[in-house]
Amino acid sequence: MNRIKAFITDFGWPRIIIALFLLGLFISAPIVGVKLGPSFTDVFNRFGQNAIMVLALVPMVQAGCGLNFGLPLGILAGLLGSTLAMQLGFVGAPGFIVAILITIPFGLLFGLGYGKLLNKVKGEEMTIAMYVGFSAVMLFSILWLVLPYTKADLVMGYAGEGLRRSISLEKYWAKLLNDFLAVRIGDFVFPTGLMLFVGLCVLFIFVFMRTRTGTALTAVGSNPDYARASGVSVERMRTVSTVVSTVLGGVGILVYQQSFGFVQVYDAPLYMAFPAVSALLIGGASVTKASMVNVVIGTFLFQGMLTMTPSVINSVLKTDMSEVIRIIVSNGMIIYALTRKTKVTK
Amino acid sequence: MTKRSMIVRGALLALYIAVGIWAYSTGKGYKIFVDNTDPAVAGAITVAIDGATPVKVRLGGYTGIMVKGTGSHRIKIMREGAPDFIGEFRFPPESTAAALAVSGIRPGSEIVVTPVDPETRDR
Amino acid sequence: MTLKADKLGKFLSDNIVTVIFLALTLVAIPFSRLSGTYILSNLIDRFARSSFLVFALILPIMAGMGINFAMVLGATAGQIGLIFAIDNNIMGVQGLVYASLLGMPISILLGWFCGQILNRARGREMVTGFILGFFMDGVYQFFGLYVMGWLIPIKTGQVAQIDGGGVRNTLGLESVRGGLDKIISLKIGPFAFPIVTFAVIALLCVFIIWFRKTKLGQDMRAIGQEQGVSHSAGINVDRTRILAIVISTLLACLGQIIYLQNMGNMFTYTSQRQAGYFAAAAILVGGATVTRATIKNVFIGVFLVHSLYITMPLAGKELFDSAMIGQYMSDFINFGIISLALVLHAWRNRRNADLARAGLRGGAALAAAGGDK
Repeated sequence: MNRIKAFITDFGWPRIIIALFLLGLFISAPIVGVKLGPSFTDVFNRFGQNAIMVLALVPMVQAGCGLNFGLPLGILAGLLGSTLAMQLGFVGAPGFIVAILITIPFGLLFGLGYGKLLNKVKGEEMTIAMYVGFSAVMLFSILWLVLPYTKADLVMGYAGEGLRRSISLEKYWAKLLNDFLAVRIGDFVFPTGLMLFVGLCVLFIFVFMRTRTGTALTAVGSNPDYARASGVSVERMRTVSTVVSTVLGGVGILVYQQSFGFVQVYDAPLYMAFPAVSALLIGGASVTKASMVNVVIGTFLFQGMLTMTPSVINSVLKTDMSEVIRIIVSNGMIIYALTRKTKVTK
Repeated sequence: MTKRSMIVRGALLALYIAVGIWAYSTGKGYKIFVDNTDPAVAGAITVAIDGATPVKVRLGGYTGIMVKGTGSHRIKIMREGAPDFIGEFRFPPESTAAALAVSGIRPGSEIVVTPVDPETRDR
Repeated sequence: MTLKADKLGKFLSDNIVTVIFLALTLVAIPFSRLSGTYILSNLIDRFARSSFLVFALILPIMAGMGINFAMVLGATAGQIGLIFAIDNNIMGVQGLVYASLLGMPISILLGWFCGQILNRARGREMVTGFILGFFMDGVYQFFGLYVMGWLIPIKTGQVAQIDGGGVRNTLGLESVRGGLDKIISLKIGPFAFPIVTFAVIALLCVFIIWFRKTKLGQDMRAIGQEQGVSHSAGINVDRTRILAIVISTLLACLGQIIYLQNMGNMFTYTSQRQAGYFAAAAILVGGATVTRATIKNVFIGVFLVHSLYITMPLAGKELFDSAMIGQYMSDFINFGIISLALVLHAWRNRRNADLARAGLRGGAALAAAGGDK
């Protein structure tokens, strides 16, 4: 009994409620006439679509920089990557690879600047990160209008300049990873390529966190004074975590785009950090501690909920209440994490 | 809680309710339909009630105008080639909408306003 | 360097955010090709529209809780009040009073709830308040789209959505439009002064000045300085912080009603968020920091931000041949200026802390710290 209690306190009530809610959705889906096969396909697709952006948050949490509400910076690097690769005329798998190759240096650059900035403002990172992200998205909105993109299916038709609001990837690399080695079982399709890619990224971060740099990074997050005493540069570690997070955010949006089928520019990335943060927290992470397990469980629970609520609730109540549920659950989860007294506090 | 703070709180509550009642009773809006179906006069008229922005009423038609509170209201009727008419009317109490026929206005006598069902007139 | 130049330098570095914003505005004005009269008469109108809202941020800053991004909760309460005023067909200033009477208890309740949450999130009040605003959006949408029209019937066609489910997305406020502004409107040349609105704002200023001197106001300032010491001095820190948020939320509720009666229409589910973004930008542009804000900051900020809002879209059109760029530029400056103000403040704080620590360690350590940088 005590072990169950300890497990519940450890896991946290909100998570258990969300998990039970999701379980309830899956059980009730066939009863209200929602097919499980396509639903599971959707859940897996959306899991893979979002997982890397959630994963991108981990290094910064571990390094004590808090939840990376500045994720849009990485996303902007990814947008540059995909739009430039398209502009240069790359299609298919090479196009996707070129997009990643372009994204990485931009991510490094943005991450470096962003990390330097955050080092100057210790203690207020999250609010500032959020506003720096917002500012960057608006600045890039201007850039999307003035940068000399010329390809006809990228730019707005009537003016001939300025990117379209959403650019179709149909002729480029839409569903590239999703369809790679996809396994079809009845009406359920398992997106093997997508899962492999996500697995690869998770493995990369898993290994990275266990290298010397990774352990130093965690040390900085859990006890900065001790880390400093043992000769680790706190500033440098925090910058490293920010750079990794930003680059990974850029790769994350590329994976998101190929699964979603469109590149969305202008103010679309404005609020993209929030669902990622919620997912990580639902997975059991706190503001100061996050693991790969948190990423996988959290993304699965959150995206599962987002996928299942509209179909199930709509067929029961005949109204689309999923948006309201999404807002309340995701932000409620962030507030829960921010207000929880963590054991290790400064 | 001391006796004094109880009295203060009671007074505040009473004031709150009193202001609420005042706002509700004097601010309630009612709809007046101004009918322009005068066979003797050709042309549209322009109507302004209580100094609000004038509204045009075409010949043979009517326009619904919101007025604040029951009680008396000033109406100004403007017509091309005729002097402006300024008069007062009382909104019938206990009703949410009423109609005012411009053709029924006789100088010197009170303006006739009849209660109507808003559902049947509202477009 | 002369003493005078030194003083100027210090003034500039202390007010850098305001100075940058002023410079941007001065550049934008000629390019917008708007006449001085047009800009000024617009400014008077917009000043009456939104300064009340910005005042809502002063008390939490005083109490050391930073920018109260959760003021959108109060704005939401005001909007709920207005929805009922419109639905019950209550017109003019009475409609506004009615909306305030409904909105005030809701905002007090929300403020109390918000204060409780923020007390559990010490040291990260701002980000928590921001997310709390998002959270409230969800609750408000649930209320507006599902509770209204289901548990609470909607009486008026212009409030209900076309398909009947809940409150519509854009609500016309014609019946209460100018309810406060037009009671007495003083016309001087091309300018119209909404006297009653100005009187209300003046009254609020008097209230803030008076409030600073009360026991509660003194307590708030003490807490803003140092929570631990205040606690030992016998101040109930938690309660005082909650009161600061409650009053802030209440003012935001009234401020949003004043704002919307001037606008004349309401985006039911997004207007409150605009209020939060605007107020935070305005007070910071006015020279406030996360720990210090005065009435002067509010006035300067409202004037500067609105000057830019009026001129920027047109200046963007003139300069780049695209109104879209002007719009994005406004948004960028809005967010950017908040980032800049927050960064500068955090950076100065950290530098001061470093200096104080170095001072403790002595001169040798100071030199070492300098070399470390």
